[in-house]
Amino acid sequence: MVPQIHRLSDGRAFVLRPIGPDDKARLSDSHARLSEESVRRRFLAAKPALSRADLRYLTEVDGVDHIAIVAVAADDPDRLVAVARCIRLAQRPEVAEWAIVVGDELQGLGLGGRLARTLAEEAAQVGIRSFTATLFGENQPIQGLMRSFLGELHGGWTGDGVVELAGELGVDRLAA
Amino acid sequence: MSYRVTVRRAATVARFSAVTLEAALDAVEAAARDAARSERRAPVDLRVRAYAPGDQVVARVEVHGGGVRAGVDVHGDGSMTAHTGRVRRAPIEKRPDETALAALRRAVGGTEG
Repeated sequence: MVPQIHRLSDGRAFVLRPIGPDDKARLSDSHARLSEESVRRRFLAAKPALSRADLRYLTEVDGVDHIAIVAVAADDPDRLVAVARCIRLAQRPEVAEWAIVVGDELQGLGLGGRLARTLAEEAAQVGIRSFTATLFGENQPIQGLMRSFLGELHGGWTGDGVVELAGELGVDRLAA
Repeated sequence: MSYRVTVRRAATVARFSAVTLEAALDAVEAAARDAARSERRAPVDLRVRAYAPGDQVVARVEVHGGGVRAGVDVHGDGSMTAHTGRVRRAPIEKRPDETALAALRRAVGGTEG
């Protein structure tokens, strides 16, 4: 993937690029800046810090079974502000588990949508046909974001307020 | 005919050329065994999902050339799985008492190393 620039309506610019092994410290810092609520929505539980094993797993990805795209501030490349990732399911290789986290101060400004769409394009190129996500049913912003690039979502409640949703990576929608 | 062997381990990608399929498979085996010996992973707990060492891929070693496209994944517990293809990989089922490396050789037409 060639790095891309995404500019918000207020002029702030971000570089979208694949995550890499060198991003461990940036990812750890980014996680530390998240509010408790954003962490809870991403991991469905408290997760005060990412362990070394977590950071290794989350940054040393192969781009085929595990794809992750980050957004970093264009004027401060060490400031990682958002990550979208998908991990292919071993038993259903055309399906990948999807997740996204956007820094609190940038939520609702369109960066997550652009990141999600970019990830979907990368995933489609390696044969992934649908995304599935596990999230709180109350997390309407993420469900809205998923619908924006996946269209209709399927799935249901799994318990404890958690839903598992899936949607197809429509080529037409990605091209739109 | 030449074959290319690609070894992906964390941040590094190394490539080798081999004149014969046997030599390429020998290189695959050496790289995979080295990764299995030296690369282990701790469990990852992302709360919403946990990944045991065996769920994590620490190295992927692939051979490509002469109509062959196959390889092995080395997992975080030292185990290996063999596959054909690259983007759309198909697992190579191991026969009883067969290693993943032997299954790879069988599937691509090499002889036992």
